Amino acid sequence: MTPIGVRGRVGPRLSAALPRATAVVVGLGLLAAILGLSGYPLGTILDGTIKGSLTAPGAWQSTLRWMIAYVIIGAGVLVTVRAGFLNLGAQGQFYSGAIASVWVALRWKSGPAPLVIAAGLIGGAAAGALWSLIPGILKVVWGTDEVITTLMANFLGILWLRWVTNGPLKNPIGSGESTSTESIAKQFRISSGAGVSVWTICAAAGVLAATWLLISRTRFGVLSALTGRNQLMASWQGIDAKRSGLVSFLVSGGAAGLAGAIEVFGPNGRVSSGFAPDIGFTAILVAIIGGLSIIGLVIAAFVFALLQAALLYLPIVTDLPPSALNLLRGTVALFITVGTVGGAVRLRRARTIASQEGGERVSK
Amino acid sequence: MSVSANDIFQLLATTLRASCPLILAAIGATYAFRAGIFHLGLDGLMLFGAFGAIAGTRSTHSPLIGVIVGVATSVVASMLFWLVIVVLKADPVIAGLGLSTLGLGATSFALQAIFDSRGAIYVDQGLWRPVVGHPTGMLSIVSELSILVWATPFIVMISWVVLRRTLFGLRISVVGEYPFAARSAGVSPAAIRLKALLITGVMCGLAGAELSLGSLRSFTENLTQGRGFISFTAVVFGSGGAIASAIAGLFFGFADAVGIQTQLAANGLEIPRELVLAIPYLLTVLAVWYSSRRRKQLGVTSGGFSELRDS
Repeated sequence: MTPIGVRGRVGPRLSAALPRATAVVVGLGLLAAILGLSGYPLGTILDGTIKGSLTAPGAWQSTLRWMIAYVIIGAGVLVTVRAGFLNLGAQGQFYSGAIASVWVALRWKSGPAPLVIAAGLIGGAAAGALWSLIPGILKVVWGTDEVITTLMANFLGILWLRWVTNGPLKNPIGSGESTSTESIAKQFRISSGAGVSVWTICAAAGVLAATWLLISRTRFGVLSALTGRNQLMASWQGIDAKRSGLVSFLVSGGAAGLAGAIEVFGPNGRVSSGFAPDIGFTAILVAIIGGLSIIGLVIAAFVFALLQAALLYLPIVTDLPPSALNLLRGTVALFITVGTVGGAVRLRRARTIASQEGGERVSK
Repeated sequence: MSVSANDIFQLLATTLRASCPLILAAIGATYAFRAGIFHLGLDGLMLFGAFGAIAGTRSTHSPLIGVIVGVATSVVASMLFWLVIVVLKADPVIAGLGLSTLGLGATSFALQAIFDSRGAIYVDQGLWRPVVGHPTGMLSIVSELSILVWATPFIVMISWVVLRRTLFGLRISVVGEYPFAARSAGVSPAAIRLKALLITGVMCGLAGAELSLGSLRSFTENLTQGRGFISFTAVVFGSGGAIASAIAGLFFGFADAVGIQTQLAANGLEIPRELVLAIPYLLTVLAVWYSSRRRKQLGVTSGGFSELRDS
């Protein structure tokens, strides 16, 4: 089967990228207007943004560090959304990967570094994949709405992390208030605290390459794209959506879990309760803004990583609260999918048979 | 360890206080849910309401005006949501999450920009509390509860009547179930959804006001701590029924209260608080799974909850 559907979309994709880019630009403009009206010095903020994300010492590493995480998690989200599932569970999958990998590293303290690192990363990816598989099975076998189950799984992941860092893996040395695990051994770290090394960059590049291969060069890629765009048509063509559905959930969980493991073995060296609370949602946004294409994903991840890095730097030059980025994320999320419901550029899940039977969407 | 009567009264009082905002927001979301809108922006609306209530009270020294400001803020945000998902046809799930994030960002930002504070802002007056000054005994259950907690059962009942026994309620359901039929009958789905979302805005504004003005008399960053999502969970759990959602909200409030109590007591009985707090989410997954399985057995395949159906 030739992947016509996938290749033929390159043209429309470029034109479809315009409204999404507009949403980001409008969001940024709105943020600037709000900041300006609230009396923040815009020049200083712009200057600080450029410094904090690109030119200051260590700034571009900071940008790259976030970009690596967004790209890896976003690649997984891309695969599921493309297959027609709105998988919101990246945060929980990310946490479960982080927890599993820190557990490996703390349990196997004396192991040879390459083996422990490999076990930690694989274990993290596996834990994320399992975490994601549950909503996946519920969805493909019983049709349980994945939006609810993945959202619930996120909250369960947050609680699990809180429990782990408070109880079983709590750092005994820290003060009573400390809610994080011990740091993993130094020889296991694949990057410094800055989070950028050959290994982490290779991991991100590897995930991107694998995702590209998966969606454009495999049977799964073609079938899942068909199912994602029109489940009814796909089923008429005899496509079994169950398998590709499960695979897409596994891939997305595995990617998010791997990102969690990389956080542990890379920049963080441990997990603490509620760390990186926005990473999952940002990655979902990044995948959508990128129009579910690999190049789009990389560009969008770069923009959001740049803003994240800048935001961590800005308090040095001005008293801008960290919430400013939530303001931007929220605005972008509100408007990013404008026109997608019922429109030609449909991001959303395939319509189910019932809604067709109900007389809706017959014209589509 | 022995449980005294007062411990139980305390637990009940905490349950009432914890569940009131959950129930109010859940009732609001019931209107949206029945109109076919899967509302993940409740948390943002509650934050807008909570912040507006405190800001209004601080500048006018009147809790009543505070509540009005809070509700108005939440309603404006709710209309923005309507504009985005109904008029501009954005994806309700992503836009709803955006609304929640926006609420979090905007209120934290305003806290800093208007009050120059990253901690908490306080007010000296809260909402009226009909019964006060009973630290122990039976009356301690309802002591110190704000008027909004007292009003909640009536709001639930009125909502049940509106949703199940009025033409408006019927229209909301039709729009949610089958917009094509609504349109054929001359009912505009967009207009009905606007009305439903306005009610959601009012309810979430009240829920936020109860959180900030009713029990705490202060506003801190991320005051709701995800309560909007628990309310949403309650609506899914109650499958869109006003009373069922309210009972689910009450139960989730109870789970929260038990969590708080086990944390406070910290006695021999070691149940991790996180496990207690996980119960609502686990139950909801089970409930949603069960209902989807049931639908499958009955041969009724329907679209996901999160479809904003349009004809």
